[in-house]
Amino acid sequence: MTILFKHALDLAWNDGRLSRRGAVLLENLQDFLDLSDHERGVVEEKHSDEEVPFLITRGFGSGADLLDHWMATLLDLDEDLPLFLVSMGRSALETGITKQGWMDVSRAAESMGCEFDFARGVWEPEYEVESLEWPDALKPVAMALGLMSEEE
Amino acid sequence: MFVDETEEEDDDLYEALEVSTTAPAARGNDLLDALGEEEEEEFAEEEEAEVIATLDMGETMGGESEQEDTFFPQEEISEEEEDVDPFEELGALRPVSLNNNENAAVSDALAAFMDDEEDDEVDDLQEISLFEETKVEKVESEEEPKHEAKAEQKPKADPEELYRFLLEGVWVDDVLDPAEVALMSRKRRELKISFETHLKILKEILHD
Repeated sequence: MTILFKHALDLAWNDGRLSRRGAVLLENLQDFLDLSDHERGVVEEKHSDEEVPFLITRGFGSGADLLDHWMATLLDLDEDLPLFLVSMGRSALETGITKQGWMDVSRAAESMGCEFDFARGVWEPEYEVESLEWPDALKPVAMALGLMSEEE
Repeated sequence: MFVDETEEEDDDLYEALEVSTTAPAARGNDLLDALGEEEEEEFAEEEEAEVIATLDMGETMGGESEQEDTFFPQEEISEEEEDVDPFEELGALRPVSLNNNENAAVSDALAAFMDDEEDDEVDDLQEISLFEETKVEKVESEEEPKHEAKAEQKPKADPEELYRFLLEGVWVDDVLDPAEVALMSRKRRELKISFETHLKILKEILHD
């Protein structure tokens, strides 16, 4: 869950500034992910301390558009989201999944109502999983699972 | 000639002259024998006197009572000293002879051996019974702690707790691999733990 909200913060602050629209979208996302104020506060505080000071101001909060597009794409996955998460979970297991990676993605999948599916992809080897190429909307999930690096 | 000689023989000149007719050597031997007899008689008399004196001394020291206490009569002791049984004198048993008493001795030995065997058997029985008793006691004593241990370990023997223990071990190296997942999947089947329970335990482990 936090990995999704952190990704949303990165998008909203993309040009070095946070627009009002971007802040509203973050509020909406918090509600969608069922994120508590405390959890959100921990994520935002860390982002403000470690990311914002090093941002180069290039605009006036154009990152809100990126955030809106990402959220729309994520919500569009709908019924396909569980399949992607199962496939990503199995792929991560084959390469070796860390405890933190499991916890982060499991919490994110839980917030999207797909925790059970992701868990099956990881913990049920007898469960047949179709290998799928995951969409860009699940990039934060792939990064958390070590399926791709930040540079990619 | 002959008549004169016989007549002369009848008139013993030795007797007429009162001279001994025995040879001087024979007469010397007789004299020596006579002297020896006299000495022996004197020596025997002296010895007899000494023996009487010692007997008198023994009587005063109580030696007579010891002679009276002996089992055999004095005559037999004095006459048949070789027949004195030292074992009887010492009050000990005679050694077992190999002839007449052999069967008895063997039977006694066998009887003793049989007694030993019987004793051994009895001992064995007793030992067995004791062993069994102790074994039973041991079993009981072992069972008690086992029961107690079982009672104590019951929560630990709980499948969920066992699975939790295994699941904690999976994350020791901080990385989950397919082999560990396969193991946990097999354990879930063995312990009859549902996947939902697995997720619940996993959350408890990771969030604790």
